Parts: sequence; C-alpha cells; structure tokens
Amino acid sequence: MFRPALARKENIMTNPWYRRLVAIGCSLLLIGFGTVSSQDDAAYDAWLEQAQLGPYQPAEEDWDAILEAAREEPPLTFYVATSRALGATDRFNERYGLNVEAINLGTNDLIERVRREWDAGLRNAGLIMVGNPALFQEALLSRNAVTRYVPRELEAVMDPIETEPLLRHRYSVGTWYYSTDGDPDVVPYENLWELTTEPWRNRVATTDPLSSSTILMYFTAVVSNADQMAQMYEDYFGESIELTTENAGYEFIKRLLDNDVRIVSAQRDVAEAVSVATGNFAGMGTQSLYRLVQEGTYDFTLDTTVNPVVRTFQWIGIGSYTESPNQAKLLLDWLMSQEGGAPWWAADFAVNPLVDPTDGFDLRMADFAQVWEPTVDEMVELSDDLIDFFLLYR
Amino acid sequence: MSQPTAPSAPRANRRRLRRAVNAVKLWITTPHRWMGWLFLLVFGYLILVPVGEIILATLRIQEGDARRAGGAIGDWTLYYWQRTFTGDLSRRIFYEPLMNTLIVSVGYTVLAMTIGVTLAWLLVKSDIPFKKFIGFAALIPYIVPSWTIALAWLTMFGNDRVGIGAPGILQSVIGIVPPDWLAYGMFPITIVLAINYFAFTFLLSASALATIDGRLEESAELHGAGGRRILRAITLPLILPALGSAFILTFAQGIGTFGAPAFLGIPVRFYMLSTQLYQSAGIGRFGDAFALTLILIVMAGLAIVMNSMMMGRRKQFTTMTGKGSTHRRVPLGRWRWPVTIVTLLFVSIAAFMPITLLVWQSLQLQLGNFGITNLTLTYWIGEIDGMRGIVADPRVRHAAWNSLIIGLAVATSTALIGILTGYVVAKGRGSRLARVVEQVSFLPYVIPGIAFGAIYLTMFARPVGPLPALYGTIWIIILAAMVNRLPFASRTGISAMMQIGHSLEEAAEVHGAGFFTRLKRILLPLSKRGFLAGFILSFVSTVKDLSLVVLLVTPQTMVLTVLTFGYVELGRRQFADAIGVVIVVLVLSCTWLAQWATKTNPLEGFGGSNR
Repeated sequence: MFRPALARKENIMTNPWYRRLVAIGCSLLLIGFGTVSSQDDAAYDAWLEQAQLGPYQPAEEDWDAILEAAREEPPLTFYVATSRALGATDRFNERYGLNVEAINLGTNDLIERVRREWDAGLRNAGLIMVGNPALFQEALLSRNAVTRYVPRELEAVMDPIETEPLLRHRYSVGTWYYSTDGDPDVVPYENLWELTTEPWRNRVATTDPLSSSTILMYFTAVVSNADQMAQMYEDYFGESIELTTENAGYEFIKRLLDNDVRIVSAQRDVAEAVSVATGNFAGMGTQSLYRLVQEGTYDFTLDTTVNPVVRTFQWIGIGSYTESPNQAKLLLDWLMSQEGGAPWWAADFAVNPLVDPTDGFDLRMADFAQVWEPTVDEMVELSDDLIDFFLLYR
Repeated sequence: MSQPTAPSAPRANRRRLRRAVNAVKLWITTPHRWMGWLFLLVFGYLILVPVGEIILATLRIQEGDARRAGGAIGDWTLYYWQRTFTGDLSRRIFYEPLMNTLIVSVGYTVLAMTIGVTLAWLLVKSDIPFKKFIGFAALIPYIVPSWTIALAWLTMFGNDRVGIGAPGILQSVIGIVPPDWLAYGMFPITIVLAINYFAFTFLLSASALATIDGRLEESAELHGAGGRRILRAITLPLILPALGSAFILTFAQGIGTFGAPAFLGIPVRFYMLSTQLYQSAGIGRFGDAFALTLILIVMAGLAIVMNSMMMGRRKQFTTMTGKGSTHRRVPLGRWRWPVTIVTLLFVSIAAFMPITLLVWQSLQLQLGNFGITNLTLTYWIGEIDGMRGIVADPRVRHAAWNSLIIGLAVATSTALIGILTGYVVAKGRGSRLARVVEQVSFLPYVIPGIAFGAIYLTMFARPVGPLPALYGTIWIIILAAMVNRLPFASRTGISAMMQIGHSLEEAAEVHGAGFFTRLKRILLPLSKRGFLAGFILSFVSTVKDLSLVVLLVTPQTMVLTVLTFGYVELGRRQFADAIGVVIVVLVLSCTWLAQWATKTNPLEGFGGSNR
C-alpha cells in the first residue's frame, strides 16, 4: 500500500486517488436520484374502493360502521393551519375514544411539508385543512395527494361550488381596520387610494405578503380588479391614473409600499400597532381579529363600508392513501358541524349553511359592502408575478 | 522460513493462506487505514453529495416554477442563474444583498480587528492591570449567541416607527427617538457582529503577539528605538501575516450568519445573502435559494483559499501558549489609568449589558415600558393571552428537551469522530489518505450554517441510498449539526492525537492489545481533555445555533433557538428574551465548566465555535 512520496506535485485530475473519489461520488449521486415517486392509478383506485371514497362513496353513509372501522385504524395525523384545531381534536378524541393527532403549522409551511412528505413516499397526512388555495392546488391537488370527501348529508344542502374540487370549511375576509383614536363611527379615509397619500405615510400596517396568504390574496384581488382600481383612482383624485407599472392594481401596491407602509411579521403585530397608534392609523388583516376586539385585547374598528374586502376560504380533504380513512371522515364531519367547529364559529364564517354563528359574534358576511373573490385560477396565475413584484418594490 | 526452491503445492497454498490471514489481521488491527476510507466514504457522502445535488438543483426547473421558467419540472435550465445575475429582480435578490453582506462583513471585521488587536496588545504587551478580568469578560460576547446581542440592541435602541412599535430604553426613558438607521439595518448589524466577533480576533492576535520573542523588541530598545518605532518596525511586521489571517477568518465566519441580520434587518427590509436565502426558501423559491447557497459557499471558500495562500500553512496560529521567551511589558505611563478605565468599561458593557437588558425586557408586562411597576414574572411562570410562561409551557419544555438531546447527540458523536479522525491523520502522518481525510474534514467550514440547512432540507426530504427520509425527524438536525461541527472537532482531535507518540501504542500492540483496548486504555485517557473540551464546545455551539437549524425544524423537532425566533416573529419579545436568557446562562456555564475541567481555555485553537 505504501508508495514512495512523489518528488513533484501531480496534476490533481490525473491522480488515480481523486478519480476514484469522483467515481464514488458520482455513483452515490445516481443512487440518490434513483427514487422517483409515481402515481399508480390502479393502486389509487384500490385505495378509493377500500376507503369508500370517490366513486365508491355509498349513497347513504352508515356512521356507526364508519366509527367501528375507525377504531380499528392507526391514529390519524391531522395537518391544520390554526392552533384552534388543537382544542377541537381534543374534544373529538374524547367523544369518539380515538387518538387523532393534530399538527399545527403555518399555511405555506404546512403545504410544503405535506408536499415534501408526499414526494418522499410518506403518506403521513390523514386529513388536511388549510388556506392558500393557489398553493394548495399547485402543490397538492396537482399530485392527487388530497382526496375530496363530502359527507352525503352536507352535499345535499351545500352549493356545489363550495364542494369542488374540495370541500370548503369556512370563509374569512381580508379587510381593513382603523384606529379608534378619532371618531370610531367615521372611517378616516374615503377610498383605498387615500392610503397612498402623504398624511398616511408610515400610518398603514400589514403583514408580509410573502408569508401571509391573506395579504397576498388581497393584493391578487387588487390586481385582478385593476379596472375598478383605475376608476377608484379617478373618483378620488379627479384625474385618470398615469401608470408606471402594468396596471392600476400593481400601481396601487407600488404606491402603498412607497408610502413607507409598515410590514410586520404577525397579524397580531398589525392589530397591536393599530390599537396603540395615536392619530389616524389603518391596518389590514383577517376579520378573525375582531373577536379580540370584542374580548378587549385590542382596540380598533373594522371597516365594512369603504374599502373592498377579499373573501378567501380553507379547503379540507383526506390525505390520499391514508391508512385511517374512516377516522378522517369522522373528523371532517365533526369539524364541519356546529359543535365540532365551534372554535371557529366565533370568529370566521361557516360554509355549512346549517351552522349558526356563536352567540356574541355579530359579524356577518352580508355586513361587508363590497366583496372581491379572486378565483383559484386567477390566484395561481398572479401569485408568482405578485411575489416577484413585492421582491422588486419591497 | 522461506525457501527459494520450488515448494510443494500444499505448502505454498498454506503459506498463501497464512499470508492472506495475516494481511486481514493487520488490516483489522491497524485500523487507521480502513477507518480513513470509511471516513471518506461517509463524509464524502454527507458533504460532497449534498453540494453536488444543490448544484444540479440550480440547473433544473424546481417545483412550482415550471410555468415561469417555461418547461417541465426537472428540465435543464439556466433560469435561476439568469434570474440571479441578470434578471429584473437580480438587483433585489442578489446584488443588493451581496453588497449589504460585503459592506457589513468588511465593516464588522475592521471594527472587530481594531478592538481585538488593541485588546490583545494591551493584555500581552502592556502593563495594564486587571488582565484576568478583562480577558474573562472579553470572551463573553463571543460565547453568547449573536442574536441575543441583537435583541438587546433593540431593547436599547428600538423605536416605535417600525414593526409593532415598542420603544427601547433610549426613547422610553430618555425621550430621544432613535433614527431608523440606528435602530435597524446596516449600522446595528455591523456593530452587533463586531461585538460578537472581536474576541475571535483578540484570541488570534493575542496568540500571535505572544509568540514574538521579547528579546527582539528589547534589542531595538537598546539601540535607541522609541515605543512607536518598535511597534512599527518590529511588532507589526512580525504579526502582520497573523492579522491578515485573522481578518479573513473573521470575515468568513460571519458572511453566512443569520440571527442578527434577521432580527435587525428584516423589519426594515434590509436583506443580506443569508436572510434573502431564508426568504426565498420560505416562499418556496428553492431555485433562487440554492443559487444563493452556492454563492455563499464560494465566497467562504475564496476567503479560505486566500487565507491559506497568505499563510502558507493554515495551522500556524492555533496555540496561545507560544514560546517561553521573555515577555516585554510596555509601561503605559500616564495613560495607564485612562486606558484601563475605558477598557474595563468597554468589556463590561459588551459582556454584561446584553444579558441585563434581556432579563429586564423579559420581566416587562407591557413591552417598552421600563418602569418599575411594569415588572412581572408573567412571561416566566405566569399566563397571558392563553400563552403560558416559559417555565410552564409544554412547548418550551419540548423544545428544551429537543435542544438537549440534539446537543448531547452531536457533542458525543463529534467528539468521538474528532478523536478518530485525529487518529487516522496522526497515524497515517504524511500519507496521502491522511492528507485527504484532513482536507475533507475541513470542507464544511466553507458551508455557512444556513446554506447547510438548505442543502440538508432538500437532500434528506426523501429516502437517499440507505437512509430513509429524515425530514421532520431530529436525525436530520443531528446529522447536519454533526457535519457542520466536523472541522472544529477534527481540528481538536488531530492536535490531541499528534501529541501522543507512536511508541505508546506500539508497545501496547507488541503486548497483544487490540485496537479497542488501545483506544480505551491509551488513546482516550491521554486525549480526554481534548475530548471533553470538544464535547462541551460542540454541545454549546449546537444549543445556541440558529442559522443551521432555522430551515430544518418542524413543530415536533422544535428547538429553543427557533422557538425564540418564532416568538419574535409573533411580536412576543418577552418570551423570546426569557428563552434567550436561559440559553445564555446554559452556554456560559457549560463553557466555564469546560474551562475548569480542562484547566485550559477551550476557545483556543481554531478560534472556537461561533458560526
């Protein structure tokens, strides 16, 4: 093995030692790339049949049989984007004597996590409930990683749009709210565009659209309603808009960013900033914070009349190939119900028409004067451009 | 024994067999060679393969980019490199973060060098009093994680124009609203990193100064040279190469750092390469993130190459003890007390102010109110808005447990691997295998923590070769931290093993001791100090690390540092501060324990652990 030390330095590439190392490295690389996830139609169909989903979902469901089957299954993992789900699953486990585990992650992290697991060949996700439909569609539905399930009783009473391609669990809106420092009954601005003017410099707060899907959705709606934005500009300034960007929607976002808007990382930070502000101050976030105003944590007024709000929803579906489809069905049905979904009905809007809002929650979808709702396709189409736009003008 | 004449066939066979058996025996009983190969195989796999994957990933269309890049996922493309270098966004996602990184890095390096070299000169060459205390306090800012200093900075200089608008002491107590440039962005990041790293330059230059033979300076003095002349003509030229090296190593250590740029930069949209990489990964733009990952690796690699070109050999300044020659003490004269007071003030503030501020802020009921009546233990042991104080919160306990397990696993494995690497290198001294092992063990040094995280995130998200998908388990964190620590651990191991002569082991071998007996009876006992120091340092730097793990943790594998980051993002500073205090106390007491147990300064050699 021992060779005499070489008198001169060798060229590294001709050194057999290095060649060997490179060869080993390359073969290891090949091993690494060898794993490919494939969608096997026959296997999926077999799973659907066994789980009684899709075309095999019976016309009338036998919930006793489902519960019995659920008790034989391994504990289900429930991926969910709100911490409120933890209490809901605890009560579910108590009620049915099951051991469902809820894993609470941020929206984008959650989708990314499920996608990674799917690509890794892991079928951990049993039930998934999360927002950001655009990312959901691109990352999960396109892979068939989530399977649609709508209990028959719900299907009978719901608008088909709300059950395709997946069942919607609830709505929320991205909306504006303002400081109560002035007269709380008077919205302190006339028009969205006013927020881009000098008096509002550094007096508007939002969460980072790159991490908050609600805010991204709001700006998607602003861009997809660019014509209306142009009209609103004329209404406010009395002249037609001069564009430096693609359309009036992008122009609004750019001017808002140029107006030293405060971009914070958490919804609560926006609420906090608006609550403690002196003088005019506006923030944008979901209406669910309204609950915290009612509880006295924050102090601001929701704008339901002047600025448009953007409606968004959360999809709920069963993880394809889960070993616990019956637990998934039970939990989904529970979360859609008055009792099981109770943690949400105090702050969000149920899609299930049979659910009444919790006592004390007096906000209704109908209260908002103007509701924008971009389609999933619009969101998919625009979100990449919007993210680039934010990176450019942030 | 040997017979030159033709032997009978069975005898020849037997001899061949015996020779083969002997060869196998030798192979097993002199394990440094097969261990060397094993080492190369394992770490080649854990270092080179991931880097190769990253390179390929930047050349193929990634998930979610198919439409924008104009192709199908997996197609070959230059899209990401074009986007990074020449695209519309390149200014935002590359050139600005690059410039920010360069300016901040040069800035903090110059500052840290100035402070560190001055301190080193004062402690090694002058007659300044309180040397022990100054030396002790100067190391503290280097031991605590840099993000705790960043948080303390906000407590001092934060203003209510940014974020949730909690004012710092300056605004709240004194009534001066600090301008944004003082509260956030380039300036504070530079200062915070300089405070964090000056001890590193201090250690490097102190050891260089200590090796200068005082007689050189004495003879200059005898020939009538004044103090300044001696400094210029003798001291500086002698330590200049070491200073150059210190400059580059300090620069290389910080270019990929994440904590301080995240806490102080992101709120005002000031991005450095590390935070831009984090953001790109966070929004699923992995192609962009990987391009930045490679750029960071190349930058650190260039710095290291420059360093070794400058130094010839990079091992030159790893010891502080130096020669036993006479040390000349320069009397400070009438400057003695002013210099002493300024020095004491500076090191005390740098060492104790951040932790004091963190403790204070963690006790504030309402953030930014520095009154006595606003003090509370709520965030430690109480409950607020449905969130429990850190002592009672099961999530914090879970994270603390994970941090502990990960820290112990990494510390044990790296200390052991370090010793074994040292064995391979020391035993095979001069052989090519030993040299390559040494070089490979050094490779992770050029991969900044956050880049490492990005690499492992992709690499181990699916089953790779014999390993199952590790994403979402603590194994991915342990593995990443272990490889990340390898350069430090193997450095310690090599220097420990180099000190053990061959003769000891040979004597044991002659008496029939197998390798494991030798390991247990000779090698480990003789290197136990190095082992212990390596163990504790690995533990400490793993527990306080944020850059490496921030991309890798999931709720089940949450660790304390990332939990802290999460609390800051949620606008829950007090919780973050409280956990920060716990980590600082843990890290400091462990380091002192190592110091006490080994009766040495464990930060010596290779400049310690802060990355």
